[in-house]
Amino acid sequence: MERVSDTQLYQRIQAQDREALEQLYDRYEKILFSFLVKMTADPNLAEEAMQEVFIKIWRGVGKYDESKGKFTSWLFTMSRNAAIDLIRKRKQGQVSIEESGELISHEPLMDEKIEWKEKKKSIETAVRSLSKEQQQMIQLFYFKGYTHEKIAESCGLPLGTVKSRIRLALVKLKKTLGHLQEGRAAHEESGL
Amino acid sequence: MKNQDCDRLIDYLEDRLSTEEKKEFETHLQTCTDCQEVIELMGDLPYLSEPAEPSEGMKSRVLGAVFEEEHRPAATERVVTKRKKRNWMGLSLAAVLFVSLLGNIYALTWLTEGTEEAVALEEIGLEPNGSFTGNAAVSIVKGTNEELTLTVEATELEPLQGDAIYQVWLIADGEPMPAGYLSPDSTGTGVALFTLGQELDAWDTVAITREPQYGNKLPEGDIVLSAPL
Repeated sequence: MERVSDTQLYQRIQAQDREALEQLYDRYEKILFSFLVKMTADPNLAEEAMQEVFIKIWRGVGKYDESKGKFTSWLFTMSRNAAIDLIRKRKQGQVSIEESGELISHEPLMDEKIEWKEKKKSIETAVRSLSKEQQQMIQLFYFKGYTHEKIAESCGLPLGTVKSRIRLALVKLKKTLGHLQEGRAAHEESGL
Repeated sequence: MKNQDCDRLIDYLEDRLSTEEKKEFETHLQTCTDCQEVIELMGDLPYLSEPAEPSEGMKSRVLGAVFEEEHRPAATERVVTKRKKRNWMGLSLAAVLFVSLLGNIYALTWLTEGTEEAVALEEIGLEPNGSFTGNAAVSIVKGTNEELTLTVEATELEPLQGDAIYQVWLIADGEPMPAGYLSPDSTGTGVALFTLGQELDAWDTVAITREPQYGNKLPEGDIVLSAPL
């Protein structure tokens, strides 16, 4: 049976279809929760953020518009912002720049879904193509929820410079990721 | 100035732009491949996370909270009836609503946390459609938790037959979302409350229809009262 698309599920949710919301939850529970744990470093706060996200989806707050990008981009951006709000409300100190950790894990993924494993492998390969400074920008901005003002203050850089560096790091990461995916697709097509 | 537009991407991702700035950036986004690619990347980056195991029962807790919100007094399906008719049109609607709501056990429960500092942001009278004779007004109230609530108070609603019910809708670009019910008492008065979350900008119209039955997800009946938000 053909898989219902995220957009179709979302449309049904907008018509208050509970089953559709449950399907969407099942589809993204694991990755969303893992992402929120990475951001908050607190499973309880991550669960609270999950709840915020699904309440917003159910109520149609901040509507998804297909013309502005794919559903997962909207979902994860909204989830990231929900986590940042909760972190700030709780006034939990964000980790210092020195302690911000690394984007790439050194632990192998064991039994996780193949799709996740493949995606993670590709993104990690693309991340390795970035300079250490670019990796740090993405880690601080995207995963640790630092504002660009905070990064500028901590790094002693002008605001505009920080914004440009974050953006350029993200652009480079996406382009490299795109090349890797194209290369893999070509490889698979050639049957090698 | 392309670079300046691109630099707004970070503010866009942080949801910091005003409605106007957001529209401007989204216009830029339609033609800027770099910005489009970064937006798309937002759907990939979470896969860098290490798998974390949700605790037992998380699904039922999360979805339970979602649907519990819906059934709170401020949510979609709460119907408040049997209220005394009074001439409220000449008074401050917000003041009247709060006084009357405080007397309502359902609303009192909901307002416990934020009554003292709740602020009425907008008060709008709905226009009747055609020959419909009822009146209604909406009030948008912001609680101390920043959450917005839409309160609809109607008087002189025409009696309903059978299973019919008045239903409130919030509409965005022609797309309606259910936002509560009005079940008038013998005097034609009814109140509905609906939690909007923290954003009002998404909606452009509020409307009331006369539906043949309770529970419609899309309107079947005609609009009897409406107003732009």
